Amino acid sequence: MISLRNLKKSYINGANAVHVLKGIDLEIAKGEMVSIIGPSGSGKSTLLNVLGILDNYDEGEYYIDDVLIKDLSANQGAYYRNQFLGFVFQSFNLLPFKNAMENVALPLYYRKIKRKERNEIAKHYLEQVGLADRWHHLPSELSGGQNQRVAIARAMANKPKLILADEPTGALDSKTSEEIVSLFKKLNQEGITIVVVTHDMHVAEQANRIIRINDGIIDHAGY
Amino acid sequence: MIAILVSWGIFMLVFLLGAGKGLQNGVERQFQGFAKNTMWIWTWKTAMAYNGLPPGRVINLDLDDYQQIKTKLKGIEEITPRLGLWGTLVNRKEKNGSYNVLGIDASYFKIAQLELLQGRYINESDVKEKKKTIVIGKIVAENLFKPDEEILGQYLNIKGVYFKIVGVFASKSFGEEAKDDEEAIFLSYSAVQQSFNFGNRIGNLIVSIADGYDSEDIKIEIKKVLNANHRIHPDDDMAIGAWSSQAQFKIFNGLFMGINGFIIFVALGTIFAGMIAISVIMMITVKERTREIGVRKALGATPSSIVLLIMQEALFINIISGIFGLIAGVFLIDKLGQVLETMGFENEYFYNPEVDLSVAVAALFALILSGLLAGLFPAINAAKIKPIEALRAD
Ligand SMILES: Nc1ncnc2c1ncn2[C@@H]1O[C@H](COP(=O)(O)OP(=O)(O)OP(=O)(O)O)[C@@H](O)[C@H]1O
Ligand SMILES: [Mg+2]
Repeated sequence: MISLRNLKKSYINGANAVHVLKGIDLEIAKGEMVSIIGPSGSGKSTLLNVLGILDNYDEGEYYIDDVLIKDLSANQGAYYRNQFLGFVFQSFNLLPFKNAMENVALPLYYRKIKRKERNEIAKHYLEQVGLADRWHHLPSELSGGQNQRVAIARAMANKPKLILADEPTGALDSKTSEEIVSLFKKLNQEGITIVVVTHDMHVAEQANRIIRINDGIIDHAGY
Repeated sequence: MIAILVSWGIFMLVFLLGAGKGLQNGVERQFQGFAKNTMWIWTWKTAMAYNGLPPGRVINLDLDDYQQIKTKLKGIEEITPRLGLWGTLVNRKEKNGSYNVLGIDASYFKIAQLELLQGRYINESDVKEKKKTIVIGKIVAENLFKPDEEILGQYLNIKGVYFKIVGVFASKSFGEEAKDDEEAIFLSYSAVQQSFNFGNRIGNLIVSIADGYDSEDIKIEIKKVLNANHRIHPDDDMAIGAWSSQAQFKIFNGLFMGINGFIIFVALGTIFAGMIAISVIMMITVKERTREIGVRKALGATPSSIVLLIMQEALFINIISGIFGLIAGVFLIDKLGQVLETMGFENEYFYNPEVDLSVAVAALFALILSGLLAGLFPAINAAKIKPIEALRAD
């Protein structure tokens, strides 16, 4: 489903370029749950952002379902993100002035789904993550774990092919982390492909496959 | 923040415009007593010797002057003498009062801004036949008659001569001027001449000037005639006096233009300052929302939807706050007018402040439009940056 061929990316810092991704080759099959680990600064987030079409890359190729994702226009990028991808961030990235339901409904807004239907769907997914009774709460009125569950519901709302999570448990205690990971596993069992970047080996071990990145290249892709 | 600014800007604008209008209305009302292009001509003493005649001669206008000016000069629409017995004791039965008794020609009623309440005005045959008929002002009638008493056909005793009332009138002016009008008694100048021994004299002249003629030109022409008739030195400025409402009006017009200019200047300044302030605030707002924009982009927002989002919100805030300011301004101006009225505040130069709503609405649009324009560029910039950069912002 996902295929990276010799993908390279560098940041230009003044005169010198920092090579962050130095030739990544990676295949992720449909329905897999993959975790990415590696030391800090090794390029995990950068890779995930490229996968999420939030950032561009310099060389190589990136395919989703055999569609080459390269040099997309802003509108194409927006379309693919909306149709194929769901995001879960370490810091949740919920809109603070919208309640849980409205946050979950946001990707559907960009699918031009009517408000009433949007809210129905949003409530359905909040139920899936166990927050049916909290739909009207603002992010500030929810705990970190609850916020992350709202974020996961939002990532699910547009039925993505792939959910990308960058340290989704980084801001949570171990018990809450456990709940979030089992939520991911549940989603994965329903058929959604999931890529999780994490520092936490407990989290990483829940995946079908652990990919380790070191200094911009994959040095281990075990099962 | 934007809301307060827009509200305040529109409010100030409306208030200023309203106050300016009040000033203008007040002064304009001052000129309602007579038609706008009216001129008064009076005489006094000569200041200069001329043709062997000494200075200090008293000049009196007479019927010849009247006839000559009336028939020979172009540009005069109406002309009438006004021969006054100022503050004369008038008796009726056991009641009396002191009023201005003024001798005029029938044309006076075409110049003065009066309104007939009963009967008729003095007409040409009254003048020709020197009839002892009078029309009286509303206040005179109220003072000398009981409310339900018949007025027309009754007689008033003016200095021992009995005059028959044929009409009652009110003034169309305001304040002091209306009182002056309504405390007057009018009769034909010929009757005044005959009854009170004025001989040939006609007092003052009141002239209304035809459209397209300049009061200054007419004034010069009239002075020429009178100087010749009375052998006055052409440069003598004391013997003949003239005052024209047009000249006065011009001065006030200039003043208005000044005031209006100032108000427009302040208004434009307000709008301009508002535009700049809104621009800055829009930029800050967009900056603050960069992370939100990043989140929206991650979820599938296109650049144009981001621009639209920011524009819609700017438009909404601007319209709501602008309308609020507009209403507050109009309301305050209205209240001000009412308060002035109920307090009996009789300032002659400030009356009925009001706002030209179309101007205020135009200003509102200007501010809203500038708010949108101001928001447009930061919005487009925000829409252009990569999602990951927007997400990194904090
Ligand atoms: N916008 C940027 N400009 C320049 N350099 C960057 C930028 N973003 C990341 N880098 C650099 O790229 C390298 C990889 O960063 P990245 O965030 O991918 O690391 P990471 O593996 O996610 O680390 P961590 O575990 O700490 O999150 C780092 O050396 C970082 O300094
Ligand atoms: Mg990272």
